[in-house]
Amino acid sequence: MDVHDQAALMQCLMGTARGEREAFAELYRRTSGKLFAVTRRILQRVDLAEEALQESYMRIWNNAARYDAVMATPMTWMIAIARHQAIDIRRRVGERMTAQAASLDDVEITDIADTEAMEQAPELARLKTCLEGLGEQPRTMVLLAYHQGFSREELSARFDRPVATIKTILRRSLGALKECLDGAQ
Amino acid sequence: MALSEEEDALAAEYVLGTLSAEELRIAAAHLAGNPDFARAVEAWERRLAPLAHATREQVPSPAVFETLMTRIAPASAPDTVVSLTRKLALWRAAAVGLAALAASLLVVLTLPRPEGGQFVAVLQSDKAQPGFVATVDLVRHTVSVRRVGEAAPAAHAYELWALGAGRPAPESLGVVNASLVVPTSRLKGRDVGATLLAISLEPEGGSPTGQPTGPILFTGSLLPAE
Repeated sequence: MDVHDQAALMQCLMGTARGEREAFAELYRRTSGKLFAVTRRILQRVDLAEEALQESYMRIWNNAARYDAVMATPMTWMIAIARHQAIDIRRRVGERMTAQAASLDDVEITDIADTEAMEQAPELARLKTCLEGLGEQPRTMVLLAYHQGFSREELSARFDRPVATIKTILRRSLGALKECLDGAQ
Repeated sequence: MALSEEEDALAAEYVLGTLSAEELRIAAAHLAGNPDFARAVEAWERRLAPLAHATREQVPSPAVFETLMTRIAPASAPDTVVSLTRKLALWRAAAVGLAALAASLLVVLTLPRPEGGQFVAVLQSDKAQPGFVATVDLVRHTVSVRRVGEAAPAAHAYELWALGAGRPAPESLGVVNASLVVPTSRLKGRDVGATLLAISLEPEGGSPTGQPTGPILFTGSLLPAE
């Protein structure tokens, strides 16, 4: 996503904040593919992923005026909304999701290593370097939580470690990531 | 005031999505009342977002978009009439799972189809809840409407309006209690396929002004019954 796309998205968001349906439609056209990919990973079922997508765009429509360009790019802001919406639904639907999600893990994680987007995104390259520094198991836990919405309980079952240990590992990993990322700037 | 390490960890896990229900409530309270915490959350969103940015795009069903456009503004203006086939797709999507309603829809959709055509509309709320079904029968020259949702609140009435088809203002077709049948002449030569039906909430007896005075609660396009 280059600077022109960013500017176009900001225009769309500003229009959306003013209640302009056309601007909102354009925002949807430009961003729904990405947000759907995000909700799809967390909710493997298409119907649930589409429900999450729809609720996300309703929140975007209702909250566009609160978007703060200083704090986040439009995509980062919208991705956060979509992830929280999808995780919310995942927690409500419960553990039925887990079995279905399991088979996709390996794909998801290698996906990050060889994505085309990497060359264009120094932030991603840096994040990947920092993730690699975590060690394999903690990295997998962080990625399963971020990409697929795994809860501590689900991670606990997957890795056969107590929930409290999972919490400790996640917090230590996130702390290390912060240090690595912020230190590299 | 800087955040404690514990608070920053809470912000981090809030973004990761791994907090327990109890911790989530604490985080939500912080988020609403503590600007430092809100900034920490935003910083964490920025740190991790490149992962989501790198996700390969997927195309959602067109019904998601159609439903959204209906939800963000009830289709009460002529320029919001969407193409019939798309509206039909939307209606089909919205009707999925509404088992309780299926029976009443079936009655409408399986009525005999005389030559000259019949049009059907499901009037829905902005939350895609069906409130009324309508048929326009061009052979019997009738517009029939039946309520499938709840009755109007006390001292209020539902009023049916025809919109769109190039007309500047809604035209009343009458007050609907459980059902209403009026002659098609009330549509005054409108193109039925381009007509939108809407239900507004009015004082008992109907709108005193000849135009909707209360909220438009249900809308639907007339579709040719196949």
